[in-house]
Amino acid sequence: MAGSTLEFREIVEAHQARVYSIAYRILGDRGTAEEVAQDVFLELYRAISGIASDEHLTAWLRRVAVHRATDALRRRPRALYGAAEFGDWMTKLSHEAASFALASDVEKLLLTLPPTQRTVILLRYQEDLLPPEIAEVLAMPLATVKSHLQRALKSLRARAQDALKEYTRRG
Amino acid sequence: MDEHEELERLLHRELQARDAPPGFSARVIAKLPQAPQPAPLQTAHRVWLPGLRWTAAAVALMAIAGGGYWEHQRRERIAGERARGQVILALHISAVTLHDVLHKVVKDTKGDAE
Repeated sequence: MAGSTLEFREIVEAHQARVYSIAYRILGDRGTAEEVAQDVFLELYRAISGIASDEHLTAWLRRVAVHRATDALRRRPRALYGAAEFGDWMTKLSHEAASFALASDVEKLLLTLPPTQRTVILLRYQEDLLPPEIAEVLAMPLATVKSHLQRALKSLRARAQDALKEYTRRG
Repeated sequence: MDEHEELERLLHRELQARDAPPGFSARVIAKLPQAPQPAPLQTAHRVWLPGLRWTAAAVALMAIAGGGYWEHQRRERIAGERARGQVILALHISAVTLHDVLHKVVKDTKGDAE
């Protein structure tokens, strides 16, 4: 793997979207997400000699990003979007249906989930991992991953009815 | 398409990785420690060195075994050639002896007849 700054910069540029997105969607806040993503790459720089392949690199970044973002989340008193904020947001959403940016709203929906469910959804749909792969990243039994996934989807489905209808109406 | 599939499709589509903020990589590079990192080849060395060691050991063993076998074959060949020479010599001696005996017998038979 790369040892020089130039080569390392290429690695950062190739993987920054993945790492930043994981951090941002777990934390829900751009500033902390950037700090976490930077820390992940600095950790990679120290560990680069142990990385054997591109696949190993991707898996390493994914795993470390999830764990560092989760650690940062635990250091907070509460999640950015709790149940009360979600109710306010849905009310606001119904009045702004014509102008909201849907990706941002899906991310907000994600933030209404408990952190573990949020992470499982993120790994399933952003990273396109299968449940056994998610179980490996999170060091969690497969049955637990499936249970989190089902509950998260049920919860999202229940909460996202209005947004989903609007999304399908707009194609 | 049912509601569940619709939701999954939505999540797949809308949860694509989003771009990092502008200048992100430059800020990461600026935070890197100044000490040089190990050269890129070190990883490759780490991966390949044990393999090379085993290959070199296998080649050396094969060379030793091959050399031993070749030396054994050489000695066998020399011994065989020596034995063959001895057999030929013995046969030659036997032939000469028989010739002499035959010659003597013929000579003695002629003498008796005269």
